[in-house]
Amino acid sequence: MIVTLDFEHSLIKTERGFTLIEVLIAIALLSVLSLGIINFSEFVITSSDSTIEEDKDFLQIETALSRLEWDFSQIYTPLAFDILMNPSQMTPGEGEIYNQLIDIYQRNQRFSQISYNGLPVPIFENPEKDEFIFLTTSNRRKVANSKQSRFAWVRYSLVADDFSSEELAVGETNNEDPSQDPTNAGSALVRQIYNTDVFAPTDIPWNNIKTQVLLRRVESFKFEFWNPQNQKFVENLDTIKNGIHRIYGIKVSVNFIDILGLERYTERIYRPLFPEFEPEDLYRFLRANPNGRNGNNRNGSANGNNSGNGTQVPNGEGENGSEVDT
Amino acid sequence: MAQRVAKQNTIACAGFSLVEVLIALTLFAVVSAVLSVTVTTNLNSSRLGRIDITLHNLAEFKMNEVLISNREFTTATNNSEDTGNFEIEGYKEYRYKVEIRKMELPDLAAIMGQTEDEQNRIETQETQVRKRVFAILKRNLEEIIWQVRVEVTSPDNDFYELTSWVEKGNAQIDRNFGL
Repeated sequence: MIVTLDFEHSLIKTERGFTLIEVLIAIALLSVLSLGIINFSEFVITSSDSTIEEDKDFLQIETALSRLEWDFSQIYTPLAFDILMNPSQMTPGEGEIYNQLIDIYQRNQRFSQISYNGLPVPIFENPEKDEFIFLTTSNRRKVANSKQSRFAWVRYSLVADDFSSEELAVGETNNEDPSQDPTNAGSALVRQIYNTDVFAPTDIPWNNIKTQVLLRRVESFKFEFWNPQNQKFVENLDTIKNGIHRIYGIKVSVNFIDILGLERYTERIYRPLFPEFEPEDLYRFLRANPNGRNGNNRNGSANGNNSGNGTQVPNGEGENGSEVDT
Repeated sequence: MAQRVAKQNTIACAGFSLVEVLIALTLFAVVSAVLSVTVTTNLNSSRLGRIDITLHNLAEFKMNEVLISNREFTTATNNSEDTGNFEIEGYKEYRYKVEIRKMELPDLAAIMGQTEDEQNRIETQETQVRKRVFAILKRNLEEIIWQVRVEVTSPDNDFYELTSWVEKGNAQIDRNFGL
């Protein structure tokens, strides 16, 4: 009987559920575990978010600079494969044609001279150290049969960053840091492209051309150009011989604020894809073979009154008054 | 008898068995391990990608510098090796190595898939001329076209390599084919 009682007692005891201590321990364990899980998932979310943000930031500058590379690698000038036309070597008839040709291209500041094969030679400009205007063949038609070619004038410049959120660069979010003074938003690197009529006699209305924001929060930006004479990068194109007509290499230095608010600096060197060699002076062959060109050279050697330009120019007969710097 | 009954009862009311708990724990461990591996792989590949892009950019910087600069090699610098640290702010710990090597073209026999003996055996006037022309061509090509290799190493010893052809600036071309 006692045994039965005991049995019933123990039965009741086991069905009574958990003791307070058991429940407390279970809750404590559970809370520790779930705290760990919550912490872990929190870490996962924040780290993946920050990685995505940083990657985006990293990608932003890579995209911007690859745009520069695309344009610079296809910088166009006939002087990469052709020499300048030399009017002093011409007969009066040829000189007249030359004058007509040069007249077409000299109506604005973008083209100056013509090459030996009659191609207009563009003028590259860097009015400021953070501005560069050049002719490139990097344009691609986006609409079939539109009146465009590969040629385009491109202008890179640094402007004050007052772009609204719609104009933000691709991949840029507009969550403004409240600690950041909006008046001190820095500058933006922008690109403008003029591809409708690259040979138009009128000047390019850069102020009316839509700007494409490449990089924001830029602290400083600088173009430098390779000078093959002294094997150095210089800031001014004019100091390079023929520099406004031919680019050998471009160095870009960018200083910008990244997403974490840290200042970052990078330098890149770009080079045009035209092989770097000096085109043959074709006039040399004409001079060497006087019969190749009727009259002009023969007169020169007969008179022998070469003046000023020395052996380069045979005679003044070919001169036609057009003032061209060579 | 009573003891046995009590024992059975305890077993039925004991909650999870050890095996069940172990299975549950294993499942949890596997799931969390997979989760953490995924996350760390993602973070790591992002980090590696960034390192790779940085090294590639530096290598390209150096390569372009080599390609636009004066490439007038002399015999003294034929197989020159140039090492140093980058002078770009923020990348001064990165090292580079630029090697310029002569390109070597195989002989005409090797190009035509013949051994030297075979070619000597069937030597006619035409093959003689061909051989002589090719020898001069080979010499000129080897004079003009060189190879350049840029190697960039990060402070953590990550490594990137770029190779390219480079044409010699002051190449002396032999135009005399002696024909």
